[in-house]
Parts: sequence; C-alpha cells; structure tokens
Amino acid sequence: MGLLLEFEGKIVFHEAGIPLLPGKVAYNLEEAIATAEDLGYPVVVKGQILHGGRGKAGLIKVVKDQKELKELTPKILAGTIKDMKVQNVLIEKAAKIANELYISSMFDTYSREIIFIMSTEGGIDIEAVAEKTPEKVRTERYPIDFEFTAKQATELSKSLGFKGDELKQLTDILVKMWDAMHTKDLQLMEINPLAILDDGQVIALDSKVIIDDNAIYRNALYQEFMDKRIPDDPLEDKAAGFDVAFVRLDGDIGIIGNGAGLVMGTVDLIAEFGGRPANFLDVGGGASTERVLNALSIIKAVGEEGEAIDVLLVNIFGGITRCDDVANAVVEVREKLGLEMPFVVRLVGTKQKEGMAILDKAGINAFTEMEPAVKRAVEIAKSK
Amino acid sequence: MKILVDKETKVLVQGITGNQGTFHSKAMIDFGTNVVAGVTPKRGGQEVNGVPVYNTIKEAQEKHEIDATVIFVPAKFTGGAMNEAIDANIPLIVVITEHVPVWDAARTVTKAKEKGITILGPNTPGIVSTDGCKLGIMPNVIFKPGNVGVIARSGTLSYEVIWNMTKEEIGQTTCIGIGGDPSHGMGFVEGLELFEKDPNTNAIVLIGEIGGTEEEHAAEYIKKHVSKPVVAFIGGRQAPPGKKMGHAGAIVSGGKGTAASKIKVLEEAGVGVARLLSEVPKLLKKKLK
Repeated sequence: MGLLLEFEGKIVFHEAGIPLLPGKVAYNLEEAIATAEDLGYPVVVKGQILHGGRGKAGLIKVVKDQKELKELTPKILAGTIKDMKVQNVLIEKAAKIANELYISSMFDTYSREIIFIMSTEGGIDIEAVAEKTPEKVRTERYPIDFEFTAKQATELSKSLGFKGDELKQLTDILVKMWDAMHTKDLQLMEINPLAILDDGQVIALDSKVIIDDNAIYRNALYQEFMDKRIPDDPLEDKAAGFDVAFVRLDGDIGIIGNGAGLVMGTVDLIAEFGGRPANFLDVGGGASTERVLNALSIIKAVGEEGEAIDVLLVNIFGGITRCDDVANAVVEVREKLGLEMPFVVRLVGTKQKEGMAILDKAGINAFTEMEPAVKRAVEIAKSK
Repeated sequence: MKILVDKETKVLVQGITGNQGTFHSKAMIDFGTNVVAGVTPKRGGQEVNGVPVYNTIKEAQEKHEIDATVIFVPAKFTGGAMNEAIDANIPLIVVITEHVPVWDAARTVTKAKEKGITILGPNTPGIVSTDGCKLGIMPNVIFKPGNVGVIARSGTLSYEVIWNMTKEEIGQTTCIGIGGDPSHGMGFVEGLELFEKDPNTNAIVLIGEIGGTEEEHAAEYIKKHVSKPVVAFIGGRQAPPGKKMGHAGAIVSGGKGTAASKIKVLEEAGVGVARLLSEVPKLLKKKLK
C-alpha cells in the first residue's frame, strides 16, 4: 500500500495548491538547525514514520530555541513505533491555531466514486466523531466522471455552517483535492487536522496520502520518495526489487508458490493442519531458475534472521509452467544456496512425470496433490 | 452463447506478437477458441500461430467480425488498449495484465459500463467456456464440461479448485475470473446473476479472498436473488492485517475485509463455505443431491 510519510504527503498537497505552514524535511540535526534558523523559532519537530500515534510516542515536539532543538531532534530521529523507525523529521513553523477541522477524499475503487468526508471536528478519530455526533460530519459521494466544481464544494462546506472567508478557502481546498485525486494517481488524501489559524488562514496541519503503487512509474516525485526511504524491513525491500510478493509471518515452514491466491491458500492450509507458516511468497509466473533463486534466497534470509526454517514447501500449480524446468531449478538452487532443511515439493502441470523423477533422484519429497504435500511439511516441522 | 462466450465467439488478441500473447493465443487455439485476429501496433501484416496480425482494432474489424478481445499488453499500455477496444464497441474485453494503475482501470470500466460493454479484469486469468472457448491463461487440462459455474478473484486458487472438481468428476459450465485488482469490471454480483439465469448451470462455486467488499455484496445478492446452491472458498484466513498478500486488492485494512467476516456473511446467506480446497467438491455433491 502506497502510504506516504507526512512530509511526502505535504509535498503532494503543495503541488496540488493546498496551503501549508512553512517547513522542510531534515535528515539530520544540522539540516534541522538550518531549517529552524530559516523559519525562526518556535518550530515543531515532527518525526516521520509510517505509523499512527506519533504524538503519544513523543515524536512530535514544539521547540522554542536551538538548545531544545539540539536536545530533542536526535531523540526523535532515533524514535521507533513497533518495528518501524523514524525516517527523518519535518521542521515546521509553529502557529497559533483557532480551530481544527477534518477533510478527506477517498477513491472508492469498488463503486468508482470519490468520497468526501468533512467535519467541524478535527485532530481526532473521524469514525468516533461520526458515531457520537453524526451532525458534525458530512459524507458525499461523486462518480469519478462527475464534474465536481466550486458549486458542490460550496454546498458541502455550507452544510456544516461555514461562511465568509472560511467558506471560500474550504471550497478552494475541496476543488483542489478533487483535481489532485484525478491527476496524481491518488487513492486517499486526508487532512486531519485542517487548521484555521488565528489570522483566519486555513492550512493542512497534517497529511495522510495513499498513492497507487502501480502508478509510481509515471510520477517522478513518487519514485524520488521511494528512492530516499530507509526500508523498514530490508528483506521486504529486497523482495520488492526481485518483483516477488513477500510477507513475513512467524513460523518455521518456509513457503514459495506461484500465484497469490494459491500461496494464500497454502498458508491457510498449513495453519489448518496445525503448522506455522514462516512467510507468504509468490514467485509469480514462469518459476524460472532465476526467480526460484531469488525467492529461496529470501526464505534463507528469513531463517537466518529469525526462527530457523525447519522445512521448505514449494507449491507450483504448473499448467503453463513446465514441471521439469521447475524441478531442475529447485534442485539447482538448493545446492547453490546450501539449503540443508528438508524440501517438500508439490508439482502439477505439463511434463509432470519428468519433474517428479528429477526431484526423486535428488532425494526431495515430491507430491502431485496439495493437501498431502502440506500435511507432510507440517509433520516434518513438528518432528523438529 | 452460453455465459458471455462459447465456441462460436470470434476472438481478437491484443498484444499477440509479445511473448505472453504468442504463447497464450496458441494455448487458446489448442483449447478450441475461435481466434480470428490479433493486434499489435506497427506489427500488422504478419501472422502469429496462423492468425493475421493488424496494426489497429479498426483495421482488424474491416476484415473480421469480432465478439470479444483478450488483452496481453504491458501495464503502461493497458489503459490505451482497453480504450481502443471500448471505442471499437467490442462487447467483451478480458484484461489479463497485472499492475495496471487503478485510475486507468476505473476510468475505462466507467466508460465501458456507460456503453454496456463487459470488462473482465484487469489482473484476471480470463474466462473459459468448457464447450471450447478460452480467453486467458488458465491451464487447458484442468477443465471438464459439466453443470457447475465457477467465479473467482484469484487465478491459481481457482485452478486448484477446478482441478479438484474435475478429479471428482464434477464438470463446469463456465469459469470466470473477475481479477485480483481493487478496481475491476465485472464483479461477483454480475457473475452470479448470469449463472442464476443460465439453464445449464445447476450450482455455483465462488472463490474469494481477503480485502475489498466483493464477497459481502455477493452474500447480499445470493440471499435475495440466487436459488441455485452456492459453495465458496475464501483465501487469506492467516493474512496479517495491513499486508498486501500478492494481489493489489488482497489486504485487510482497519479490521475490514477479513476472511472471517466474509465467511460469516456468506454462511448467513446460506452458502456452504469450505475450509479445505478439497472440501469444495464434497460440499457440491451434498448440495446437488
């Protein structure tokens, strides 16, 4: 999921014309000091991390001078929430806030509509607001090919009681959000809170933006964001580089298979039979030696970093893929990577007999059916 | 025509000169599919697997009647290929390509719906009518003609289920892949509607997975409108929240879209939900008695 960091989301907001407080990202203390001096104290130091609950975790601090900045910035830069690390900090000019609101636009991919949610309450959980005080929340849906203009935006803002200059600014922001959703491959823009400053200016105080991973190639800005990220899980990053879908689970049965659904089904089946899957990994179509090598090198690393992999289950529903090619690839890669745990391989498809013979000769448990193969893998894991 | 396609359907292959297009058009022809033409820009004039290739759909339509098209072009060009097919008024468009930007999919699907054109996918394995028509990449050998309709989000999971059915002598009418992407053309509901109306289909197998709301909409529809027995399998029971399980659409987010919640609504709608893939044929036999 293409969730952006707050500062990345704010760059998207800026390009869309949505007003912000002055600020800049800093990757270290020196950069933070330089930016703070430019902006003038007090500033807010905001740890950038792909996780909620930053305030509670002490990753957002108002800083009144350079001494405080020097004391707090390194702590925030070293901060973590769960397994995630702070990537960098956003230094923003502190501002006096008169009121906090909420606006979001979400692309409902099922109905192909943009859903605007707007509330007079901001900075808190919008679902809780909607439940307790529904009169403070408006939700409107518009088909993506609708012509959303200032007319609808004004009506929406008016319905929550906004008027005068605020109404004008909100209308402008809504129209800009609509346009940005359509032109920047966005799935979500959430501004929570949207702040009204004491001088009456309306600005986005926070950002939550989700981009379409499949559209990064045509948005140079998003590619730049991704290139500069520190991977939270280097192994997941490596897998992404190999173009294989990988998710870490926490068991002792390593899995590779072809097709997302089949691998999901394999993970489920292992658990159903009382085993513990170590991962989800879809090698994709083809299952060539190179792809199998990439996939198994990831599984090898999973076992080295965490709990040992006691057995490796390969589940290939060939059909299109030739079983003899897959069998050769598995045998070759096992040797190359020096993988010593037992292998259980399930193969079905063209050249199945030849594939089974190659596996037999290499002393690998080979099956043509999925359930007995999974059962066997679970048995081996349990015997360890 | 049975559901959407049959052996008379005149099929176009977009991207026929690419590796995937060439390989799969051969497999489609081997299955019995009536592939009449192929299209690849700037590659017109040649033949692939005995099929004439044209530069544009328009050129192909000057020589051939076309009922359906299957798209094997890279993700960057898929939106364009879909638009070309929509503009050419081809009534059925099957989009195999994975990783198509979701806005491209949503825009083209919206446009197609306005014109009454059916889209399967993107990221679908395609559609098979067991009387001898395949638009897509499913393995030819797993099918057997019969009376059960299959509709699925995942390709490989559907192969496994169909193969299990075939081994148990339970044949299929039509097998439809709706695709693993969050924004796609036909959904479960439209597929169920077709199977409910189809006189050759006696029962329906629905293969879902975590994420999105397809299964929830299907459950609601089944409760109200489907008289035929339905058996389901839902993939991703062990998926951790917030992680995308291969398919762009297979993600549990904010506690929504879990396998457990989908199984619950389907069971409440009277659907038999299998925990093991091998239980699908057993449940079907029970329901068909």
